[in-house]
Amino acid sequence: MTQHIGEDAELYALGALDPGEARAVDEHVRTCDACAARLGEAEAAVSAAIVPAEPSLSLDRRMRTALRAPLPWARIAPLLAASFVLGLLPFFAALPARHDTSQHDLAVAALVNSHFAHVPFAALSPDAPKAKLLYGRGVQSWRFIVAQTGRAYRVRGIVDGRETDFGTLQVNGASAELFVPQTRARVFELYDGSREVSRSEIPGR
Amino acid sequence: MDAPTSANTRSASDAQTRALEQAFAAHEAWAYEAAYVSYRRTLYGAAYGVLADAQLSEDCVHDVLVRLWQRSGEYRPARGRLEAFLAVCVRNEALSRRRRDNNRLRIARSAPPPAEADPFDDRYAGSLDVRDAVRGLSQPQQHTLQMAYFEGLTHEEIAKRLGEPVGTIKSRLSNALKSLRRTMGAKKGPA
Repeated sequence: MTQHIGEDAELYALGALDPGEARAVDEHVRTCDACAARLGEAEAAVSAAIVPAEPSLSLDRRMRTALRAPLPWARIAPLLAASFVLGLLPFFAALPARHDTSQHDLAVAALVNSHFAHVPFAALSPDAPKAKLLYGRGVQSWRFIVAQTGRAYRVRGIVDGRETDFGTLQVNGASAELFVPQTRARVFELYDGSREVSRSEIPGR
Repeated sequence: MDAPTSANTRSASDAQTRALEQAFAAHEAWAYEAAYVSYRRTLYGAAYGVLADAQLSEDCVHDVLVRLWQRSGEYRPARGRLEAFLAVCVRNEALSRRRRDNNRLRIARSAPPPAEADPFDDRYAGSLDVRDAVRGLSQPQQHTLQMAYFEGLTHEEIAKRLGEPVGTIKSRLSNALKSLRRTMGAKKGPA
């Protein structure tokens, strides 16, 4: 391991190192957790002084083009189908105008950049809402729960055999959704108060 | 079952942030776009604060994120907040570009502000906490920090301008930033 970076952490965060010194810091923090943590704290202090500003929609479009892998129709088709079925299409149409940070934006980014599948929730109660679980491939990946309901059902899941609370569905008009960025949970349940009303399980591994 | 409390909401949001950071470190494609969507205002602000030009700032944000996407492996959760990491990446790239572009931008931006100006006024400081914390620094620390942060000078350039040893300037900058961090952390209280 190279020498610890010491006070170069703060100088790096301030942008006060020359390029050679900055490269040495980059190299060192790849393998040194202690220096990485010190650098992270310095970066947090510098970023606190940044005045946020709104970029143009043109940058949003450039970033989407640059960061998204090519989308062959084989991948777009199920997304569009799911959009129509679940009433998500208006959100996609409205995306360029959205400027807030939200779980919905994360979900859209996950949907358009991943191979995914979906499975319906099975009703355990007559008043259960129609809902689906969309999930990224892989043992640990994102999950997106969408439901035709105006109620903020609580979402619970089972992670490594333990019941886990994922929060409540976020209601938007007559639909509701919850995005879980990364989890191993394969079973999800919707609760109305303490009553489980429906359940969904990702099939076999 | 009880309604979610604000603490629950905050922890859910923290959990989402941590998950995004892990996915970004794992080079998952969706996480890069999600990071842009989540932190776009901070990143653009970081570039604009240095370059003071909309097109140059957007180019800078674009190029940094694409470079990180192509290279991968530069961010690890051990480094802390992804937003701060990205903001510093963008800001440092903007400083590099400004240093290279002496002919146009540096001349306009590098002159020291008037002596009576508050160096961390509303144009710059991200929050009242930052301004208050800066005012708690010694005058030499404020002055040196100003040259590094707003004028974009390297520690060697600052040492040369002030006629002081490089080691002294490095320690002063390091201590100033650590002091800022401590002050702001103390005001926020435990996470």
